Amino acid sequence: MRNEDNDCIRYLMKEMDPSEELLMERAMMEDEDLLIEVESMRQTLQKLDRLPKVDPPKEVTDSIMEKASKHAAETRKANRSFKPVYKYAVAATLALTITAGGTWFFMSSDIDSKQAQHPVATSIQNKPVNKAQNLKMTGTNGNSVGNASAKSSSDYKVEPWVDRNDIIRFGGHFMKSSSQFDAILKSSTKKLQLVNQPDINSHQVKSIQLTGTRQ
Amino acid sequence: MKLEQSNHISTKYKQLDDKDLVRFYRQNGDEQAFSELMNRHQTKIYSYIYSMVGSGEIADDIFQETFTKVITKMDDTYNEQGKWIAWVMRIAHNATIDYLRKQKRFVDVSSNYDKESNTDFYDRLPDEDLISAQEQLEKDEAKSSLMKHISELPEEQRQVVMLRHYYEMPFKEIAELTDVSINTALGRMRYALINLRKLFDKEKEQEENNYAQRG
Repeated sequence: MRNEDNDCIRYLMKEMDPSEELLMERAMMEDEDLLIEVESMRQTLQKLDRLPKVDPPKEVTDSIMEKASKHAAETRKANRSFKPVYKYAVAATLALTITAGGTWFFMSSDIDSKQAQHPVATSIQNKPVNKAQNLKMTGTNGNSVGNASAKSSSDYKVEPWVDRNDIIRFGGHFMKSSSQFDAILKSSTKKLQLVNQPDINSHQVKSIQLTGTRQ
Repeated sequence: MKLEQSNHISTKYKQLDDKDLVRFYRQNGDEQAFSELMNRHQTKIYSYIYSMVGSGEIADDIFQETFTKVITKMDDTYNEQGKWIAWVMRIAHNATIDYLRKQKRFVDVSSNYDKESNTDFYDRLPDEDLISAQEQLEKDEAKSSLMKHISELPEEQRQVVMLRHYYEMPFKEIAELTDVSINTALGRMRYALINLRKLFDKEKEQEENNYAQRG
């Protein structure tokens, strides 16, 4: 079938571009047979407008609606049993559990490693608090206690040591009393030495400066 | 006959478009949404089926089968990107064609006129079912001559006429639905109009003869 044969239908069904419509109308003006064919088809097509519109019987639509209602009830039941809000709750609980578990695992492993390497790490820094307090404390270089991680907590002896910044440090396990801590503090204080040439002397208050170094 | 429930459907549903109604039904199991969809489209779908099969009883069955599929398959096979009504019309069309093929109402003449052989519906084999369908149609005054002539068209031509008339489908969509080229779909429409014109002319001639005999 030639495409031109279908032009009448495309023209009547308004499936032509405006430019094609123009060409078609020009062709109809020039060709009387074409014009008669198009008009004849138009008349037949107009008769199709009388085609009846038929509604389905009520019992048929009722039956369909019954099925639709049953299906809808199943959908609602499924929605009730597992609403989206529950999904979010489950997801949130799961996320919280994983986060808490992860944090606990990380912290416990961190504490273990810290306890293994530096059971207790405390420092006394030698920074002056204010101008009135010119008591300067520095540690003695080279007096290192070393690592005592391999020792058990019972026979472990804590010794203060001085780091490269002249800060006295000590570390160890304290099981029950604070007397051990006081002893360490005492031994740390013994390491303090008077600073021979204090670098802070711009104020009127007499001050004493102690250092852990052998300056 | 429209659903009785339509009286109770709130204006909210009437203002919604098909897409929203489908979503309401699928997600929330909203029966009123489905009822509104039915009310909107049932007439043209039923009319199409009825005009194709020519029997109210069979049209009822196919219509019911169509909407049962719509209800049960909507969750699985309907893609919300496409128009819901186009999807339903495709189901209705396929169900109708399946029925017609099972009944083997017509010999396959499509290949003939597609090859410009000019074979038309007058070459059809006689069919008892069709005659009974015609008798049924003749009883109904409102759908008398036009429906009778339509029912005499070959299946492929009738499809195109009905899809165009009831579904207002562009020929591109008709071609896709019926799995032919646009030119073939246009050609079928053209032959349908030519054949209808012949039938109307024949009917007019008979009426004139009857009138002359009475005179």
